[in-house]
Amino acid sequence: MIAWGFQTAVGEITLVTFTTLAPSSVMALMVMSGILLFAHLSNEERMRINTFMIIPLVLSMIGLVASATHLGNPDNALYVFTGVGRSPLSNEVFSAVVFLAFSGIYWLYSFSENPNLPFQKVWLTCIIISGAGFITGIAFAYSESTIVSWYSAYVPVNLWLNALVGGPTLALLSFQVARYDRIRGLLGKVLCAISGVAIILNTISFALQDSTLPSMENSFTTAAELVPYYGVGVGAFAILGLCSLTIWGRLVWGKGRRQGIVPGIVANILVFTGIFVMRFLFYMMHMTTGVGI
Amino acid sequence: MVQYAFYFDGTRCTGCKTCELACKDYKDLDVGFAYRKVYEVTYGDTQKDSNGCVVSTCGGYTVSMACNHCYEPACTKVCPTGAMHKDGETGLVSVNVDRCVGCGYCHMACPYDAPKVDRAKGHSVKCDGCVERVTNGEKPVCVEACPARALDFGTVDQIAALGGTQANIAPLPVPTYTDPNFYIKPSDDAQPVGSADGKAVNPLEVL
Ligand code: SF4
Ligand code: SF4
Repeated sequence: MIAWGFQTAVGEITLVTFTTLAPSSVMALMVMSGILLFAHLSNEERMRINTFMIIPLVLSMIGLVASATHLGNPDNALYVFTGVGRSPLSNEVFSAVVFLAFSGIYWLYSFSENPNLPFQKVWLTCIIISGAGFITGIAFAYSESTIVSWYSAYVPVNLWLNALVGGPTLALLSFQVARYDRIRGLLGKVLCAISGVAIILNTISFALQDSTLPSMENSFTTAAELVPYYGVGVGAFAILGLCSLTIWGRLVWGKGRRQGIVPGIVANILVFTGIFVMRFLFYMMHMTTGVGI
Repeated sequence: MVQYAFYFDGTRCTGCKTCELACKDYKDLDVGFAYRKVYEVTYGDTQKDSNGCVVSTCGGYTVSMACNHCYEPACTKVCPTGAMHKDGETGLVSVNVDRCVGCGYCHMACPYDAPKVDRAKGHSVKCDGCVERVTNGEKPVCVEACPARALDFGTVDQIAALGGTQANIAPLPVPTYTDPNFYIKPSDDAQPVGSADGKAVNPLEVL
């Protein structure tokens, strides 16, 4: 049974990658947009933060490009927009395009010689709203009643919590690269706290979901048999997340001179590895009612 | 609009799989692809009782099934491009290969495991009810090939009149999900939908 689950997840590895990277990257961009909107920033700080929005932007693009490579015939991709409103997948792609358009245009515009700040603020608001839409789009992309193991409230909740786990840590790294020192103050502490609370809630939600898997049954197997190591994955996710937070905690609460970016990168690799594991297990558990696996 | 439907007589099927092979041959399908599949269900136990007599609760049966050209198809609902569509004239569900992106969502959503993406072709493939034969007044090739005459095809009224009930035995899902145009006359061994004894036992063959 586990072999079938494994086959599904390996077959959809690009989607595993996309759904690992995109939600957290989008959340990081939303956090950065929030700071650009509401914090008192010097011109230079604003410019540097604008510039390094490219980090989460590129990561979310990598995810999207990765997911496009799994298409059998990308030439027909534009037809995907004809399904908006009907197909959850079309809704997801549409929300992705809207979000990336807002973020990409904002980022390019930020390099103009005299950017208009009020205009930028409207644009940043659009990034935040469309980002929430995009994460929701991914969360409900597989919402179809026949897919019994995915048609559960835990699926969108977990996806949103994933974004809240990885988004703040990626934002911290981006701010660090942008040399925005206030992450060593209240901002850094708040971001660590959000990620920490999200790790706890996400772990609880994963564990509760795990307890529902044995009762999800079709004519071949149960969801629990497709992902027998779900509990181990949840444990790994929690431990990796907490290790990442420990690193950030030392950077944010630590005194003394500014740290290099290597620990921040390591912290992000840890947290994203944990999310990747859980996304892999998510695809492993795919099954429909009846005879589909 | 006409709505076509398939019929399966479980009291006639021998599980020979001629239907499956005839379809594979007619549609020139490669290894790993079958539009019609024969699911095997076996259950029960054979033991000696306290008198030393051999007693058995064993049973077994087969279900031959392709796409059921459902009234409420899960595949068309989730398909982002509209490539998977239900024909307004015949009610047959098929893939418009000029629109399909090969995302595989139809495969993920169909509870009858009918569509599958052919990576070499770059699009989803599935039973189209042999639409070209049907428009010529013939029956689908699987129906014609069955040596036991266990399959039939016709308008849903003709098929429902044959005395079966709408796809409601294991290993199929409850028919309320997609309202399939598939009618079954069950054999005596057939188990109800969701029965613990109604597991399909030939996954390597049909998945
Ligand atoms: S059996 Fe599956 S592929 Fe065929 S119409 Fe129903 S949902 Fe679609
Ligand atoms: S593989 Fe093709 S037919 Fe199936 S859901 Fe995707 S676009 Fe639609």
